Amino acid sequence: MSSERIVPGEVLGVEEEYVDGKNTYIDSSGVLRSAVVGVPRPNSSQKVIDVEPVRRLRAPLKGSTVVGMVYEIRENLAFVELWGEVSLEPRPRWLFEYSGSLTGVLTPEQIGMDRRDDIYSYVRPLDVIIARVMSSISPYLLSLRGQQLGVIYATCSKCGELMNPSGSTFVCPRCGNVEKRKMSPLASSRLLRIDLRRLALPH
Amino acid sequence: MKQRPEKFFDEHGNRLDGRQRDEMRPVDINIGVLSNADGSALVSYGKTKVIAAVYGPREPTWRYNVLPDRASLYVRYHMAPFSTEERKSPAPTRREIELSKVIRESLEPVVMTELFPRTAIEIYVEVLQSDGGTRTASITAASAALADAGIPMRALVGGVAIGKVDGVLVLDLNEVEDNFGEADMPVAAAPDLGLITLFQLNGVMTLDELKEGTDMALKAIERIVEKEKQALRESATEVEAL
Repeated sequence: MSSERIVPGEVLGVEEEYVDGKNTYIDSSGVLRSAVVGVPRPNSSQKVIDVEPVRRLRAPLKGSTVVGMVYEIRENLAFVELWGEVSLEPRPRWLFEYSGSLTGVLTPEQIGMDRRDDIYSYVRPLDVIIARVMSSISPYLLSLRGQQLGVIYATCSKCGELMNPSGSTFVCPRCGNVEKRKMSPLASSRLLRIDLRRLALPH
Repeated sequence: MKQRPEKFFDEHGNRLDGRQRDEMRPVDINIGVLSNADGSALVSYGKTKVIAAVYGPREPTWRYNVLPDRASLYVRYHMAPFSTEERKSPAPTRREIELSKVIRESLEPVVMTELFPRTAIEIYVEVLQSDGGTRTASITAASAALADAGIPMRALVGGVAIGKVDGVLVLDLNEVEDNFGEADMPVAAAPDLGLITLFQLNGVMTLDELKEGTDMALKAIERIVEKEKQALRESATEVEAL
């Protein structure tokens, strides 16, 4: 196992043989090298070498599924504080948390919003959401277009209480307020545990 | 304070700690020693021990560190108060601020910062025990910790110091040889790419000595980076499913 691992700078081939895939690069003399510690995965039919990293970079990459909290909504843009990465298959679970603060942005198109609608009927500040990352460059573009994606925890915008999912809406157990969201099916199953202290609920 | 030794070599030509003139101290590299950091490494060159922790890429702790086209590298080199013979004040000194810059500049050529615009990669290096050669050990530790954090790099970097004591070139200076020697020449390089990333010289050397010293350093760095590679290959983290 460890013998087939390669490290940054190790030679994988030359430019003429292979195309540089994921986590590889071609140096100034045309030599293909690894950029990470990992296991080489050559694809001889397509002449591409990828390197599968031993340790995933602790930052959002295109295609990863993240959990975060909406902290601000400004002119139909929702700004999200990204907490960490999750895996939805085969069942929802945490992969890792990010070590520092990272900002994601949700646009109306990526929420799957109708133009006449108001963004507030999809997400609101203090909502915890599951989203997919669309770009690996900060600030990370997010998307809620997907089966499992959407709001998993919502707080009442009148009294601040954590709301219960009921059908396709959230209902406040304290004041009975009913609010609409782009809800994730995971909101009712509560399969993904989050640290609710991060929401600073009034108690 | 240590005294200047009468002689730097015994009758067999061995150094004060029994090494030959072109012999390194034992190098030990441990990967992933800190669980809160995204990547970490503990490196010792004999009695010199340094620990490096890497975080990021993430949003810069200081807003002015944002670069529009690449990630900014932030390095903080710091000596623990207990790392020296006499207590060192924990406040950052001029020397530590300069060494932070020197270490950052010796890593910048290999880290692929262009992949992460507007973010920061933070490297914290703490000297736990100092016996000469802390900057070069710090570079080795930082490079290993960056690789452990999964940050894309063009190659691994290692560092070693060459010195001159009693007119003789020696490899991997310890503190006494550094304090009372005639020259100190720290070198860092990425042997895979044939790239020297740090070259400093404090003291006086002839041109021939400089050439010989550089060769000695590059050979030693090759061995250090080989150790680094071995440690990274054997590090406990298993391949994670994406």
